[in-house]
Amino acid sequence: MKTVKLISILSAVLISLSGCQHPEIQVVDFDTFHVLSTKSSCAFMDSGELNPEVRLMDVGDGDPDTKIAAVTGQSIVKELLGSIQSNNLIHIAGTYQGKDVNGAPLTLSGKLLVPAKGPVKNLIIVSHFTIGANFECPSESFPLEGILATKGYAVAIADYIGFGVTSKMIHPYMHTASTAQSVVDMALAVKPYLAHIGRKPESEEVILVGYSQGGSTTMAVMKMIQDQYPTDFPIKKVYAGGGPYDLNATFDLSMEEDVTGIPCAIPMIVQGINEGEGLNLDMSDFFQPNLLENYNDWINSKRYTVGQINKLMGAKALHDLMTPEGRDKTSAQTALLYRALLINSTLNFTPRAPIYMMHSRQDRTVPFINAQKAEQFFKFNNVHFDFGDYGSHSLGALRFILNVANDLQ
Amino acid sequence: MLFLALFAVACSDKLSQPCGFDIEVTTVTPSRAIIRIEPENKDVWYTFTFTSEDDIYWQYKDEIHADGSLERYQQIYDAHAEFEHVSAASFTDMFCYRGSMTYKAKNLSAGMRHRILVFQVDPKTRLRVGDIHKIELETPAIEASDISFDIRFEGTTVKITPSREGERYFWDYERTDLIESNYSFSNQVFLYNLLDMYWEYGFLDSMVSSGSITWNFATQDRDMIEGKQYSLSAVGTDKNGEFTTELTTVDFIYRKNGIEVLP
Repeated sequence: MKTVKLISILSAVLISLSGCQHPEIQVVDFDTFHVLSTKSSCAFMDSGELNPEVRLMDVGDGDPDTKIAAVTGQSIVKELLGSIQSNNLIHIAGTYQGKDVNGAPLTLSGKLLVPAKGPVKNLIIVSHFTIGANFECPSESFPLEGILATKGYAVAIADYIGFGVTSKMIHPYMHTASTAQSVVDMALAVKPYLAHIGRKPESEEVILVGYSQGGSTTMAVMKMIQDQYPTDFPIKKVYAGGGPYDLNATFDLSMEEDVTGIPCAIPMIVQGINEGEGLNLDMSDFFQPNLLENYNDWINSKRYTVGQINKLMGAKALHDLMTPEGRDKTSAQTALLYRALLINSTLNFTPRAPIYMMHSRQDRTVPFINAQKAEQFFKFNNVHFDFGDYGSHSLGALRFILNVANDLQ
Repeated sequence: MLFLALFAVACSDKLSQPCGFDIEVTTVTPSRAIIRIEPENKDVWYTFTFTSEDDIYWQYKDEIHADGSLERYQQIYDAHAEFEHVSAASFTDMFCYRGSMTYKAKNLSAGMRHRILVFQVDPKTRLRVGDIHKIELETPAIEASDISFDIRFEGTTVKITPSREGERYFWDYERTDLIESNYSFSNQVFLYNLLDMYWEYGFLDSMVSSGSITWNFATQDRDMIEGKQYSLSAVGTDKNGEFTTELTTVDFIYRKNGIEVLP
């Protein structure tokens, strides 16, 4: 057992409680979750506005023509204010032992958020949405999903492979096995850590939450936990929103309609699935010359947000990004990709816990067909389908977080 | 406030008023049917039953089948509500749909009649509203084939030889643990889903083989994992990606210095 030095996170919080100041960095050495830094900050400012540090989804999908609920992003989150337990949150960024795409040991990172005061009711295991820049990753930012901690929950959000301490690696985007594993491994690491710091949740039951890429990953996490970790993490409830549960349907819609959703998602899927499944695809078979020349900088450098990558790409249609060969389903390479997309879809198990599934009908980033396919697959199960006019994909994310927060006790 | 209450009641009453449905069977293959359902009122809730002529419910009168289904759903829902300490789904979540939908029925029996009953459901009473809309379809028979497959391994190479040249077949392999996890331990389910996907997205023909094939796992698949178990299957298939033979399956352990075929 390693010696624990200078723990006292709580005393640091007491010092910082007057305003949202950032306390000194504390070093805590523990077996399962190695802390890199701690800080505290408020979810909401004195004005009731969301802390500008909170990372909102940025996919550049604002569409003035979409029919939306008559609220703005800030108004949505203001609805949370009346029901929080602790506005002050402690952010604990750290590393843990995870696995790479082949199952070999790999040190990964993530962030644990706990309320500065009050009990911790449950552990919420979050799978985060698509990001482009490393500074957006959970361990280095204030993730939007982290505000759920204000309601008295510990929130664990893993950096997927390719972000945080592994930012030099290619992110295996939409590779469900490795992304779900990174999420579960972080939960395995923080569970004893929470007990160690005296913030063990009152209930053993966990809650799973994810939107967009996180929505699909959350379903994969649910399946993984059911299959492999049912006693470690009995699931109380699952919240999945705006997810590409059927990757074939999602990708094929782009192919057939020559649309991109969010432009960067296309090369990210091709590269990510290639990386995760070891397909050994040649990107020159898929990417148009401009994308081929620049995708390492635009995507793999992790310098740019999704919105910035989309602007750099400047693509209006799929053919701006993908070669005719890449768009030819009869080519061996594209067929291999479709096969891998089938394997990485998440409509392939029977859920054994309640699920709340939300999707906006106006979502043009992750097409609504995913929700329809999920509904058909999960009918006759304990799934509440919330499909409505919630506006764009990014506005839907805010609505989703609000709905989750309102549903939590 | 009175106006709002009256408005709410009026809206709710519309859901219990019968509306018409436009139902169309767009595609039928031996094991699949694609049905489009479009209610005139996109806000009403409805459900449907799917029966085959080899099913006991085939003999039931439509009203008994439809209403009996709702009764069963009610019992299931009540039981689930009693035992699930955290519930998410409402009755309509679990058993009903709203708005237009395209439903794809898979794994149907070939060469058989099938019946779909579509009916509106009152979300409050959970009883049928209005008429039952019935569609019958017949799946064509599969033209079975008697081809067989000889599957041999040498080093890291497999050779698949069908007993007859020129006839379509499909082969694939995957890690056995993945098939167990994602496809209920069934190579049949795995191959069926693959073929169905290729069929749905319009490139089935480029995925099937005819004649012998040779595949070197070491050089043609960089993702092979040393010591892992894989399942390889071959099956005859028709132009719709339907099985025309039983599966021939071989399990093996991949080793760089030579594949170990399992008994």
